[in-house]
Amino acid sequence: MVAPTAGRITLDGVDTATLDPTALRRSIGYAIQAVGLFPHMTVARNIAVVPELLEWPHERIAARVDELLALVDLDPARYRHRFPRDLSGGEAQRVGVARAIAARPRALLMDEPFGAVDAIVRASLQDEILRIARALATTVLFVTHDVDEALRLADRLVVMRAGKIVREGTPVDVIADPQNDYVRDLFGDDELRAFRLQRARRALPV
Amino acid sequence: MTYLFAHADRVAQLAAAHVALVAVALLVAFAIALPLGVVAARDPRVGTSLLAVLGAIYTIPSLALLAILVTWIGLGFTTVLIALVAYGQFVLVRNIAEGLRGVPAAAVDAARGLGLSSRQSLWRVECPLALPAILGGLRIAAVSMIALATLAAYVGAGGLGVLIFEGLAFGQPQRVLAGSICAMALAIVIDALFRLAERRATRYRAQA
Repeated sequence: MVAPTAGRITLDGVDTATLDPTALRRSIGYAIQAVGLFPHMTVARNIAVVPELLEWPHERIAARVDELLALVDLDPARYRHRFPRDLSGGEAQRVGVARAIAARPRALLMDEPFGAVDAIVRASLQDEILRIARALATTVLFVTHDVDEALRLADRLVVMRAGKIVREGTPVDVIADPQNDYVRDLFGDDELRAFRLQRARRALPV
Repeated sequence: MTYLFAHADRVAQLAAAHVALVAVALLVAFAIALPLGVVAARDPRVGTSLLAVLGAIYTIPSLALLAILVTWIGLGFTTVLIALVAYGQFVLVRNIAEGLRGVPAAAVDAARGLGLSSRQSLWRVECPLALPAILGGLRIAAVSMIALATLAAYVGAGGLGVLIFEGLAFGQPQRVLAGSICAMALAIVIDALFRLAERRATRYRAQA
């Protein structure tokens, strides 16, 4: 969307600056807080946008739409023909995710996708993202201001401050050893940090 | 009214010529206005000056514009066509540009993020979302063209205006009336058809 002003971005080892921007965007799934579903298209057509651009055969698109709706836990028969206007915030966000991953992108970029939904829906969407990310085996780059959301979702956590990386590692490593005051303060006072560390450890697969 | 029924064949013929003239003018006007509207929507500064120019054309008295065009191009179909297309531009370009500017930023953003080229985004996302406003512009342009096209008779291009001019020349008010009523009826029908299309184009906004 925006070309880097400094540094390099590589995807599968290739500098993205050398790639065609449109093809590059098409190969990265993209989900944003505003969702941006196309209001004049049904749920099914929204999800089918990129496969249609890639000129997949109709049957394959229809099958993929149903598969994706099931994946994001929306009943295809009920939701396929709805318009975005008739969806709740959480449902719209799920459709947005389904649309982003429709053509099996090489990576999924999520920029504060759950910023606009309430805490309860947010928690269930987070669970869903974990489940989907595992099912897809796709890299997800997830941007958030919510520390607990980051701890909950991340395999690898990157803390940024004013455009610079200040700490990088697994959630447990980052909390256990913040390495600088900024990161330490980010995770709260000693007590809260201890609690978060405990929770992050518990979340590890045994 | 008596004239209308006594000469139904002739009236129908003139009405058909009238509709044909307006249809061609509307198509040509739209083909010119669409790219202008896209440019005006993308660059507000260009849009403002463009609409100022088109607005100025819109205010030229129609009879005067026709008289000027006749001295350039002579009598006939082309002359009226140019006049109708020129008058249609203001409404069409304004509505197209406004429609495109009203497309939700999130939808345009998502289109780019998903990898639609700017052309694909324009055709698949922005134009369909601007369609209600575009249809509104077409409706107003069509209705005003139907009224204006009565002047076609003045430059020998036929249409319902022929009845009005004959009536004025021969002192037969029923002919004037017949031509006027037909033109009004046409305008009302076209208006209704476009309103129907606008309603269909906004169906997605209705709650299911």
